[in-house]
Amino acid sequence: MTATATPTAAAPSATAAPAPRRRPGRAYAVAASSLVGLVVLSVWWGTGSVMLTPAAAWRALVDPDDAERIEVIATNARLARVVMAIGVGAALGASGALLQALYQNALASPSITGVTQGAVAAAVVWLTFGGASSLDEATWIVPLVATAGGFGAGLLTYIAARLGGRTDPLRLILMGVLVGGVLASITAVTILASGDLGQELIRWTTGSLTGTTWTKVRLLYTGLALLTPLVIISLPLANVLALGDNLAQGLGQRVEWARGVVLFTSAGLVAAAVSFVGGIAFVGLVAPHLTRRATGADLRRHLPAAALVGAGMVAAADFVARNVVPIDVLRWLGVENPQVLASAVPAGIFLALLGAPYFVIILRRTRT
Amino acid sequence: MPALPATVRARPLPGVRLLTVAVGLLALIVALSVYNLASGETTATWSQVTRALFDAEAARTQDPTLTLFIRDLRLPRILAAVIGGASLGVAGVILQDSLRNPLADPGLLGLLQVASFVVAVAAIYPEVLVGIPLNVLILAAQVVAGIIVLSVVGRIRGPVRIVLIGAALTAFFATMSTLVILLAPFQRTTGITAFNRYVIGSLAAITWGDVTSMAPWLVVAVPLALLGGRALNLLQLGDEMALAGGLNPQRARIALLVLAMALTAPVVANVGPVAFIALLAPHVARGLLTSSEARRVMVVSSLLGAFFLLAADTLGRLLFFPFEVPAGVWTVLLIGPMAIWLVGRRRTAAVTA
Repeated sequence: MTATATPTAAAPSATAAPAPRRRPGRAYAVAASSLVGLVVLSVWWGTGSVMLTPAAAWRALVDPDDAERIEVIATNARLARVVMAIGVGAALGASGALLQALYQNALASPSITGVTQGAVAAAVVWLTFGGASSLDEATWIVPLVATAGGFGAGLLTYIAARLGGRTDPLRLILMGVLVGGVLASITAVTILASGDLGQELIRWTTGSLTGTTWTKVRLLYTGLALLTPLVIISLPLANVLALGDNLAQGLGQRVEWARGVVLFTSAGLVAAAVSFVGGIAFVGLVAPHLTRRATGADLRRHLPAAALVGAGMVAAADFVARNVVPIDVLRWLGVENPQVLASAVPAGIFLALLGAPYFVIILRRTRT
Repeated sequence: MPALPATVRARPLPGVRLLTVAVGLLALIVALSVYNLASGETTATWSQVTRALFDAEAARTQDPTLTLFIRDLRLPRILAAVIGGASLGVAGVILQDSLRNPLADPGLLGLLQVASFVVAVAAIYPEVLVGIPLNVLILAAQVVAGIIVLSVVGRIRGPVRIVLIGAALTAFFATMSTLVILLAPFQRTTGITAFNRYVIGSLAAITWGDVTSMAPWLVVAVPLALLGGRALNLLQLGDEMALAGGLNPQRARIALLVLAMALTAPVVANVGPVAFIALLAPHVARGLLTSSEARRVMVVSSLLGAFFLLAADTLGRLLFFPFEVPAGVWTVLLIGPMAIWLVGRRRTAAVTA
């Protein structure tokens, strides 16, 4: 097995790293990340340009006197987006933590299970061939379809990995990447056939919180609430799986069954998140990685911290996407309606811009 | 005396099995080409096809439109499919053997997405080309991506690391393409249409110019790849064994990867990022040959690649005639699942090695 920086718990104390050294950092990380999340939240909510969304701008045009209504609309849209970002980020961070334990590999992430690509592919296919004329039209059907697609892809990965006998982390990773690649190609093919909807779909595949409504937020949190018991069940299972198959078996765990449960749970989390905002990448990879040092690899401590940091990351990225894209730069690029576009740049772009270099850095560090 | 592994044991290169498989595939390709030449908008008879091919003057005077169809539309398209598929088949063998990875495929390593990104930029902002051919620009971008991959991989220990890097590169460059498209000014949206054609490979707009820009790369790169066969065989055994066999593994790997990119770049530039042929063809070739000797696998894999792409294009052109489905759609929908099944069936030991 390529033990690329397995979770620290897996490594026996051969390196003689003193465990207590981590203790002060733990509380710090949790506090700091929640602080970051809160700061972002308040800053975002407080930043006071009125014409934030195209919808609000339109209302302002129709009824220029009703300042209060504009305020309410703007607030509502903004708040819904923050709450959505937090839910999505938490789900992705948590599933990343579970998956890194499951795969015994600190470089694993939700996108290598194929689940992200499955959810995106299902939603894109549905929107293209289901006759919808815009993403907002089918509020609750799209998330359901996407979730089903995500689960389908996770199942396909599991079955494909089992074709050659039993699953093991290596096979799961390889098959997940392959399944994900095929599904991503299907998405690309479908977008090609989607005509006018194409631009909107392309934005969605990168992960965008534009068009968030309270209905969607409610749906997401319902889904997350349903998944919480599963996550709690998965925590001890994944903790043992992270020790490696032999040790897990020796400890009396039904390895295949446990792996199925953990995979199902993390697939559910990813599918729930992706189905509302599209294919946001790198959160599930970076958030658990950032927090592992502070909390240790015990998922009971690690997973909440990863969820918290993930939430902060997505909220921050969306904040940046929304407020910090310099309109002058867009104008210079020759973009028409830079105001509208600036509010619609997908948050996923900023996560990728920061996430990819970070990934390269941790890759170099984890060279064994 | 214990038997040596099959790849090490000296065997005569032109085995009977190789010959049978190669001849069979060639026959398939020729048959499919003839079928392709004859069918379409106007169906031609056998004699019309041969006349159009071998007696251009007579054909032009007797049946000008059909001759035009056959000589200037169908023939270059078939040739492009064969050249492109063969390039991808060889590139797949090089990538899989030199990286010791069953999933080493230009698409899964992120190399196709890099190329797509370059094409997106070039399509929407054509002035960045400043006269550089797209082939060369794509090759340069791929080489940069390849260097990133190699520099973070370090020594090849297991198949996982490189696959994860590929996944990250894929995600990153897909996002960058999105960014370029979203920021495209309205007056340049024709560029987006052009880009879309590149997102999924299609042979619909192939001209003789495309064929002549692809062919030299293949002609130069394939003999070089065959020369690299010994290095590939050694690399399959692992870096230590390769070193013991007198090969500098890292240097050989870099040279081979550049070669693989030189094989994929013209295909991407002219046909588009055709997915999964480079992944599947080598696996099928090894299965047909029951051997993983690189040179033989390359020969069969190139023929298989040519057959796959030609078949995909035939399906796309004629199945729903007159509606045209890009060849890339069929490679994704048919070859993708086949690859999942074929790679998934391998036992862990085989996947790891």
